[in-house]
Amino acid sequence: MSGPEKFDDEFGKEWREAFDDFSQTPPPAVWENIDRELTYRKMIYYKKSARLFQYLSAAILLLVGFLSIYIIFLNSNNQLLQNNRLIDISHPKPLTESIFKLDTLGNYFFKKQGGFFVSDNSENSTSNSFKSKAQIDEKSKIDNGNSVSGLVVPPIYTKANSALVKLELLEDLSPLPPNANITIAANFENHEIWRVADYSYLMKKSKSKTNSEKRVMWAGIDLGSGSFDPNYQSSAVTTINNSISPNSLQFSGARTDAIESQSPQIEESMSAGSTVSLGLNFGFHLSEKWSLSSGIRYNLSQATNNTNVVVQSTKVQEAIPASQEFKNINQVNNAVSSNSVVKYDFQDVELSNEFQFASLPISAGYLIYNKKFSVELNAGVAANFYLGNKLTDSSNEFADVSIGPGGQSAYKEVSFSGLAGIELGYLFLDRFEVIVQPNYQQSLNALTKESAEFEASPSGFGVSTGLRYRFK
Amino acid sequence: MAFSDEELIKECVKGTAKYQKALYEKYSAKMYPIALRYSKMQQEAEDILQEAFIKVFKNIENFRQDSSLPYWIKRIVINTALNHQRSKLYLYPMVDVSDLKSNSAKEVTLSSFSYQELLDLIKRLPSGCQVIFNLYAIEGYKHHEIATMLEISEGTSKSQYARAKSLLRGWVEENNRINYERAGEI
Repeated sequence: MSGPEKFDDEFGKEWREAFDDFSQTPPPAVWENIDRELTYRKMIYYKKSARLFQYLSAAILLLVGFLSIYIIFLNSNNQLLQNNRLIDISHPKPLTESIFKLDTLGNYFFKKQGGFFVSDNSENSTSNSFKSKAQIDEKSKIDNGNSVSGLVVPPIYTKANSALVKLELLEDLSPLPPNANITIAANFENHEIWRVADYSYLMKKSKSKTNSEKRVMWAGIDLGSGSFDPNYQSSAVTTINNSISPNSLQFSGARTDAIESQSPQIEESMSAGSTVSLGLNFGFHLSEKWSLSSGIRYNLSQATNNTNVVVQSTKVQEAIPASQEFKNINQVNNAVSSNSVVKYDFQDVELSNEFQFASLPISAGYLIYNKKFSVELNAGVAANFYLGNKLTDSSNEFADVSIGPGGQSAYKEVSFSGLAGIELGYLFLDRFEVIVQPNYQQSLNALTKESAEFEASPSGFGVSTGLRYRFK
Repeated sequence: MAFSDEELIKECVKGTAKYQKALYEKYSAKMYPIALRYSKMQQEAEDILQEAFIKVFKNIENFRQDSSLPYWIKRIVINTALNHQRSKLYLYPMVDVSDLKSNSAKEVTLSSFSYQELLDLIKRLPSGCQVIFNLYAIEGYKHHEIATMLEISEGTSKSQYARAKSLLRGWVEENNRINYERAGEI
């Protein structure tokens, strides 16, 4: 307020002075209503936050579930007794010379000869199978007569029940004293003892090749959550006429010329919300470092629409919020057609706007680190198929509007977005991998049609977790 | 306990209910008469006040200290009142009224009127006149500012104000005359 223009008389000044500094306490009901509204808004806020936490919790639970299964499985296999003490082999020590797999229930005695163990219980009735294996080990020993320290485990298989079973990496027993008494835990019966050759001098050359060969193809599921910013923009001056329909809103009984000439300006916006996704994915390694992946994903994204005008119609019990999204929606246009509109009001309305998409992503990955833990950078594009959106009012004061794909919607049926992320993987049970991936998604083209009075090009950060199975 | 504006702002940004109520209690009595001046009915004024304070609490984190808190709240109350009045303004569009002759060349005095009587006179004005009279004479906006705010021409604002002034002057003079006659009878 920059002060009144020079009064042509004292009239205005007198009025101003008459009302200056006047106070009047409003009725208590006003504050009660404000308090109720503020409480309600807080509740909505917490409700939204709670939903985001629910999805996040679900993702964490999924991750914890995977890890629990892994740990339980590992614990059932990775405990044995050595020299009457319990050895936890879940974290194998760096290898030096020999690796053993303990198999048969019973006591075995070993001599240490030149860094290798040989059976010292040839008279033992249970030693036959071991002896035969020891001969194979002897071959390894011969082959590896001049082995260097630092074992790398080659893929070694033995026949058990006519099926190929991969030997697991256990602890180096070389430091044991000669004639050490090794007791195999009762729950490890049917395991076998193998002496594994040291191929480290060879494996160093072919190590990476072996790793990449192990990861050929995979398939899995993923669950994600994150932010959804529609990046709403509206440059056009929106009035109630061009917001709902240029032909429908006639305000029968009112001054139609007034509506047409001074249609109220609508202040509409769409603010950021959250998104959740569920998908199936598959991929394969193109080379040692590069991979390609794709899949299908269902996304449920939520934003908040605000508008300041509502229309009362005789055809709908609730008021209809004026939104540019409704311009071509027959359902809305019928409700606000001639003779049905009672009035419109300026009223701040907040609507939840839920979008549904089906996405087909394709991305390329570059492996930075590839051990039991892996780190991969990936980037790609996704084709997003718009399945519909629904604007709802949690207070049930305003009409809910569902919009499907097609001519009536302001949104394109297909849009594209760019993806980038860092994929962190943890391999367990040989073929399973838990994935956690922080990612960013940005629209490459507008989600909205050219004919729409506004533009939305969504973007958002998110985290997805998933489980993969590797085929070999 | 009276809180400073800084305290109120800081705590209202956090959404502390106790301070929200304190802010309301501190300023609602000043804002309610403004809402009344822009309304025809008391219920309408209460709705305006309620909506305005909800906007205050919703947007208080955006409040910049370049103006005072009561001034900022007052602007929100006025804007909310204008939003309430706009639908009426559009349904009964404001057009330039012909130059109205002043009912009287002499100035009228309001000293004999109570606050409530003056408020009733403002409420008797047609909606367009009421809004523009409030904005120009009492709030102190200029005609070109009013024209922008209401999306009308500056001429319309001026002529609506002239009409409001003419009507009010007539009612004031009539009241003064009646009071004078009553006093004479006594």
